[in-house]
Amino acid sequence: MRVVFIVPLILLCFSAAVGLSGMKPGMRKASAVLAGIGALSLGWPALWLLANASTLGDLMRGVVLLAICVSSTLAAFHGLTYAIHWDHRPRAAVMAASFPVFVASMMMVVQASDFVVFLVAWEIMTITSALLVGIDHEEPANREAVGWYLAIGHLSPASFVLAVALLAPASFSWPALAAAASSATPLVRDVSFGVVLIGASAKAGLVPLHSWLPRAHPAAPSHVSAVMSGSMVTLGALAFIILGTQTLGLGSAWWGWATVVLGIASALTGALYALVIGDLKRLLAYSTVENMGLLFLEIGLVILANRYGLGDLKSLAVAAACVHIISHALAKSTLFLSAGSIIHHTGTRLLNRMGGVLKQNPAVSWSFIVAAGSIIALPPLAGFTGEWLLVRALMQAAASFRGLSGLAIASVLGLVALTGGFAMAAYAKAAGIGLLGSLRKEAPAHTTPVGRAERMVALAGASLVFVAPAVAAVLPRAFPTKPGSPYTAVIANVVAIADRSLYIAAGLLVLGGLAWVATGRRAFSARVADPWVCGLSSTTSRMQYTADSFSQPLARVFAAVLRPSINIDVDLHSASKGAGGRAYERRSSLFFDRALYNPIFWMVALLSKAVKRLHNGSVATYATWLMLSTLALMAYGRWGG
Amino acid sequence: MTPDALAIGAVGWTALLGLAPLIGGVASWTKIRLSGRTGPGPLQPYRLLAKLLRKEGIAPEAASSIYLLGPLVATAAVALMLVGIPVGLKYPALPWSDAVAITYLLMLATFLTVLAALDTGTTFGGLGASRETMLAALAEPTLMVVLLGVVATSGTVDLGTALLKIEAGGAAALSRWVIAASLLLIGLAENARLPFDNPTSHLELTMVHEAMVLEYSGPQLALIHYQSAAKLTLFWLLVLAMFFPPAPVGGLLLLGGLMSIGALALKLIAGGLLLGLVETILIKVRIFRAPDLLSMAFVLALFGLMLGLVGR
Repeated sequence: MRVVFIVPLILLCFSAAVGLSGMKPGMRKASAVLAGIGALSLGWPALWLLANASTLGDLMRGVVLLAICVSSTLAAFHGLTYAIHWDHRPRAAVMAASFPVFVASMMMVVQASDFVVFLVAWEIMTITSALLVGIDHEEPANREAVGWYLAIGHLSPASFVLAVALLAPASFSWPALAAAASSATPLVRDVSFGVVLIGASAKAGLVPLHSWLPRAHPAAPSHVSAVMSGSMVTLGALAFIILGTQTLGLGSAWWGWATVVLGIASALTGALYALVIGDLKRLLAYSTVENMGLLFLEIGLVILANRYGLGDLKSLAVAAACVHIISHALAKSTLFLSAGSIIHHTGTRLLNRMGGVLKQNPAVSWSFIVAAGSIIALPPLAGFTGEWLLVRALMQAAASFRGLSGLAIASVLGLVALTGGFAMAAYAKAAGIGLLGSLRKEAPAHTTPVGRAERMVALAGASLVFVAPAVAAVLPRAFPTKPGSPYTAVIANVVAIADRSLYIAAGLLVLGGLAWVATGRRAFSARVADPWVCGLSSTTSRMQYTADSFSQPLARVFAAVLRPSINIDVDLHSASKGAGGRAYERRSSLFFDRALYNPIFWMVALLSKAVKRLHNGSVATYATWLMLSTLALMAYGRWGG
Repeated sequence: MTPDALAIGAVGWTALLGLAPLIGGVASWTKIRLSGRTGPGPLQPYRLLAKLLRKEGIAPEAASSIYLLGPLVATAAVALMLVGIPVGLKYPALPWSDAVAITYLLMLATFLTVLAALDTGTTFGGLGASRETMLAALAEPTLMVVLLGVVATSGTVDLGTALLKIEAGGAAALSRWVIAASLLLIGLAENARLPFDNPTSHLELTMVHEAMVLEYSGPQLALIHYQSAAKLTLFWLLVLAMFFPPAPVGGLLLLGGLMSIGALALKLIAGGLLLGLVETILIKVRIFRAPDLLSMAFVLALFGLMLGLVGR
């Protein structure tokens, strides 16, 4: 192990030890602070990796480690709140201990020098995060979420092992794997690639293996969601790059196209479901599905560029992927952390029952809005740079591939644009219905005030989203790459677009200032008066639009895909006239649950029923089965293979 | 950017930003005259802005800081779009003159306006925001595809350069027509014009854009009016730029500049006359028929992009 990784590892292990031993809140606080410092110290090895990157795998390792550093630092300090509020609960100690181990295992996955270490670290990561997801295990829904998470999560290491076993390498170091891959037959390489793609997409949460994301996130504490969504899912992309592109090398053209199609399908699905979901954390989870889809689309372009030897396209697509990983980590962690504070404050995850948060908690609410702006790529925030590079890479690809392939890329471009529109609508719903207006239900009996640590973390995340383009513009100029680095063009692309963001920021400031002067500097002053309600004497907060009514028009436009079921309950005995006693409910049936998972569950249930019939408890039956199978094996040994 | 270019740019930007309210004024004047009434003259938007800037701003009880910040930032974003691409007058393109930046600046304006509408805590705010989001979620992606189509036909990266190349006639002609048709459709939708939305409606239940900004008054409403005017001007000039070259500001410095600004004013007046005529003839479609028109615009834009890529 390289020396730069020692310090964070020691700090994180120490934090875990303190957390495990500390039943007192003070000890848990110390553990959280230690975890935060340990996570922050990951920045050094990340920058070290980035500075010394000579291959695509190393570059991506650095970028992913930076994402882990950012999201887990923010999350660890946010976790201070849990350390304080979860008084007298032994499981708070479990949480304090597993969080740093989770972060450390992600670091180990990134820097693993061979496949075995990689696999072990990957398992530790899955198990510790599953512990954290199921920390509130009294709720049946949360236990179910852990089940989903573990079931789909274990698909990844299983597929990685299968892919490596197919290659039959001499040893498990990365060069040995690559050597084995280069001497394998095309069929074996094709199958390995397919298996790796499935495994990586399970971790990254691409369709149809995304189903754990919208289940695990509502169950997990918000700071765990922030790390899982902000950076853990990108490890799926990293594993895909290490195994799928670095190890397997150049392959058939369908490798790239399959990745592109899977990516854009996930992006569209994620954005469309985010639009109609009324649970804040599930909405954010679907947004992660969308963003991971875009990331895999970018990686697919990298694979295509490698295959056809297109240097310009490769540098654009690599730049897009790097920027996307970082900006997504920043924005999604901030979103989950501020959403956590908002959920604690309002006591509900349902947007339909929220509202009026911004007036009471301006810091976390504004952080949420800014991070949402970054996720939907509004200029001049961090997310805009990634979107710009993606579109630019797609245009380059469309121009490079003549004929049908070019037209296919053009349609992907159209779908990427549509995804952007849906994402905007989804976040307009999340922020507009969840945070603005007035509270849509009776005020809860007791609300937890948003702590100072939470406010500071949210603001820190939001300001990082603001300054990230400036950092991206300045840092490469201050520390130019060594001559001959293969990533000079990538960095030049990032700098060019970061500059553009800064110009836009300056332009917005100047024109906004002009507009402010034009209003006689009164743009921010207004007298409070009653709203226009067609002459009604009073309004109630129940008259406001809800999340369901907000998304109804778009849900209706896409009814063919979403297949909403509408349920109107009318209570005939209700005393009140008019709308009283009526309940309206709209549910979108989830296509993948219906078409993929339900049949699987049904088959598993059928099979286990059949197997259960064999288990009748009689020793004689078991002995018969034993004898029969021994005979069959003996027969196979005698006459078979 | 050289001082010369900066001077030319400054003249161009000022002219564009100053003339922006003209097109809407001419449009409503045309509509009024065509229906046989007298009404105010085409310069009414300027008078309205002057009046609103003197009045007092009003906020409903539920509103928070975003209600007041929204119009300001949205106006800055739309004005940035307008000066960013040299479609009205020929001056050096600004660094954000590309398809993605322009689209997402528009999305920034939409996002903030929608949030501000929901912030009022009223039914009409939500109604307008919900409908506007439906239209924008379909129209704004189309805008990006349209602009990329313009870029694709010229074979450059930068939208500003691409628009100037169109003038040279380098684009695939069919692609240009298809793109212009798509741009017209989304222009009407984005600017809350018939057949998508009736800008002069006084019936809340049929409103889209107007319902969102129902609560505003005074300086904030002035900003919103100006922002709509700037957006309308931008879309009209983009459509025109498919066929007519923008006039250079330079040349014989004073005279040439005045002439090209005059040409710009004429273009805007022509746009207003056309828009007034169209709005007199058309009727508003049902809100749920609008997505059909918008998906047609999206398919047209995609077709235009493909034609552009093939025809290069």
